[in-house]
Amino acid sequence: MAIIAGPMLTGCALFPLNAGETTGTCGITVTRASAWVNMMPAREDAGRRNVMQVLVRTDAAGEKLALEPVMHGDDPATLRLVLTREDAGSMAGQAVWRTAHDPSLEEIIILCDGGDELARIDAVTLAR
Amino acid sequence: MRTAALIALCLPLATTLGACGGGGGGSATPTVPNPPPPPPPPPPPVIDVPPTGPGSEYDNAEGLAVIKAVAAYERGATGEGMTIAVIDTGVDATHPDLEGQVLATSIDIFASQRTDTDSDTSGHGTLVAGIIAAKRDGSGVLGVAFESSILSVRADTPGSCDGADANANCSYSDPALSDAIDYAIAQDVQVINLSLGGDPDNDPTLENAIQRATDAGILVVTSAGNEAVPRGGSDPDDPEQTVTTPIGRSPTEPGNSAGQARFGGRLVAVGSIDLDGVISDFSNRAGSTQNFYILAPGEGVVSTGPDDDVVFPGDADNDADTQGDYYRISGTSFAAPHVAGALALMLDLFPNLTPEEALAALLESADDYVTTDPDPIAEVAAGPGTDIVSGVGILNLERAFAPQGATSFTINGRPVLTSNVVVPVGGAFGDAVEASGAFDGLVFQDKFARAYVYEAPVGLPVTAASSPLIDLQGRAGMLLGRGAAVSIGTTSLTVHQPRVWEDRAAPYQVEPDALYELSLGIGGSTLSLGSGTDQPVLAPRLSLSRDLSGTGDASSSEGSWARFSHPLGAFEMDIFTVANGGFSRSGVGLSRAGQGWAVRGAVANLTQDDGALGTRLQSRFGVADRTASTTYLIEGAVDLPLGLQARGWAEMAAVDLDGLATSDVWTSGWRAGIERQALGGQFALIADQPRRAEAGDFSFSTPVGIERSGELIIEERTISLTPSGRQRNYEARWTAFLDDDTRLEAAATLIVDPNHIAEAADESAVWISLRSRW
Repeated sequence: MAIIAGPMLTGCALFPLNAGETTGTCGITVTRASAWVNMMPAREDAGRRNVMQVLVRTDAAGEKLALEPVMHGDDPATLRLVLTREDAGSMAGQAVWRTAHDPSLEEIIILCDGGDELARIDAVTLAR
Repeated sequence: MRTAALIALCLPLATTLGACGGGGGGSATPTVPNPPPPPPPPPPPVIDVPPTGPGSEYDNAEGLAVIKAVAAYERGATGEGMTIAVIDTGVDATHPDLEGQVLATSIDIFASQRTDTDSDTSGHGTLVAGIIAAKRDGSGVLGVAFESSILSVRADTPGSCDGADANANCSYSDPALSDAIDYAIAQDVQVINLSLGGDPDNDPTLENAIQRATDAGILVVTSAGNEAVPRGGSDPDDPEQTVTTPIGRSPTEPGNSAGQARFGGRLVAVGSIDLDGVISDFSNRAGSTQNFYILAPGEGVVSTGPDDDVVFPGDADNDADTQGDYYRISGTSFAAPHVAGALALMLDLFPNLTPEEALAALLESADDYVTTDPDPIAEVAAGPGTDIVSGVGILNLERAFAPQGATSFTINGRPVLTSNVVVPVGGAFGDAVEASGAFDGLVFQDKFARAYVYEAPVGLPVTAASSPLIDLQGRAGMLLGRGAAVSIGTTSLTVHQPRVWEDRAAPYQVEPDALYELSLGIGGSTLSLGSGTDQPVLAPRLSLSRDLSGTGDASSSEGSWARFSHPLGAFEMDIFTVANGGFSRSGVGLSRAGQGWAVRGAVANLTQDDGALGTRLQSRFGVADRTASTTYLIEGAVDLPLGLQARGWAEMAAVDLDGLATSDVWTSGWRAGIERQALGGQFALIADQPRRAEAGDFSFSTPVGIERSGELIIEERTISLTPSGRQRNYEARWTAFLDDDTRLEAAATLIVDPNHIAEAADESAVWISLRSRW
């Protein structure tokens, strides 16, 4: 696997080492995953930054979850995020990741902490 | 990665002709006195509904099916004559699907400052305009209001849409938007679409401009915004800073003002759903604007945009032409124009609607949006009814264009609820109103005063109010009741108490009223009083069918009655009165009897304060049911050879239907029977025609159409009161005393055209009883 390079990643984590543990996230089912960037025309003083929001909803009701970028892969068109059981302040059962919008990004893959793919976001929605 | 998916659309033109949706015909006969003849109603429009289905313009747009737009098209709405101002980044009027749709009066607020390269390469305004008004041409996509016009008012700040910056978001200043709105007001548009938004501020410039528009009667549709940010995770610019509070719980400015009283119900915020009807993650939620927040498709919809060489310069997949193309797009910017187009359809089809009524019709008919899981932005589930997540719910044009609330006809200038007009029928007038087509093609209105053509059910029998067959169990109870009688000289008293049949499933049963009859002989005269029983009559009685006119037979009736008879030479005069609820009959009769014969004639005045000879008639036309009749009847009995006895009764009545402009209303009723001793008992054959309207008509005025100006087209109609059928009752009855205490009775009846409805199924019954004292 290659490492994602690019300034849009504000934080990266090594691939987790606890793959296969029963407390991991591989048993979690992602019920809905999406990514979007708000690009609606706005007032000129809005000071908007084009930030990509990634939202993953799961069947792990009541669980504190987080998304962390995976530092491998050399394909800038693909962002890999791993779902962890960390408390990142998200609503229970869902996890959020955000970063500056990179127009070259084409897909986002959500992995469990065992490395299995949980979900794939085929396109970032440019919400105008 | 492309900023928007380019959609290749190349479709053949397929046109189908929809069925005519209007009535409006019917026979209109001048009334007396003759008013000036009303203008004939316009012929119902031939509605050419755009084709739907795979490959159609309708389906290609994706969002139209979600909002069920075809239901509006089937009623004739296209947006014709409506102008929607698109205050945005400009509209490409040369796009094949927008040619001819964009008004020449479209402007650019900053025209004098705009450079040649200052264009919105994403085509935001063109995409918005296509959602509203992409024309019907058999290819590409269809706009919601495909025959409406677009007034494009470009207002983005010069340079803000610099195509060289892939991250560029066009921006606006409040003064520029204010100028754009004022221009739209001056151009007399019906709707303004604002697919833009920003964080709320304290500058009232934009809100004041919107209020000027709403004060001018213009509906303003704003996108709710795409600023949804769920809780959790860190800020990209400050990794140490966690987002602790969701953003986007209410619309951005100016959508956040929706619902404020100052806008008079003419400002709405629109959130986005995907094509499966799920609220888009990026969409701002309803929050405090929930009563004026509606959801519409804004994720994955398809619309008109610039040429692909503009959007994706240098892309090898681009086509060779320089025409505008089609793009799959997302954002509340594209949800809002679905509502703007829907409002244009509403105002087109219902020109008498006020702007706020048009919007209310959309809001109040929205599909409720309900979830069980908490929303990631509002962090509560979308509950039943209006809520802070989804507002009023999802735009649904099928429901929006259907009548809402109480519906009513306008008859003789008075509103009459359709539920009072379309009622079960019966009695002497049977289905006269339905058979005459009185309501066919009439216009009724809903709570918004929107006009609809009433289409009478075709091929379906009208509903009869009740069956002419008697309650057989009730008759059994009557026969098996207990009675007592006492007689002293010429005075007699009889009392009868019907038997109660216990129904354990019924929580409470009313005991039948006791029947009594008292007769006093005073010299040669007789005074009789009774309740529940029948007065003595010469005509034969029916045992298995009942009179539905509520007026009884001949001079008999249920209820309380009194009768005074006195001999007058060879004749006997009787004065009688009967009262039963709102019914009364009073009159005088003269009878004579000889050896083997008897005859009696009578004239009576009959009134019904709560009905029209067994049915509701006047109340269907806005006045109370009340009837007065003058009846002329004759009855008689005569012995015939072979031990036969013939008995009969006939009546004609002149009827006045209070409150209706009727003329020459007459009813008839008759019964004839023959009896004979046979097989050890009494055998009877009886034929009967219950009271039925034989002549008469009445006139009323009512709307039959609506002008584009909103004026109702009034027509005077005259209809016959004669029902389609003629009910006949046939009864055969045999009664025998097997011994002093045992009585055997067998009876059968056939009722043809019950309730005087020609298409009603015949009814029949057989009765066999054996009664004995135990």
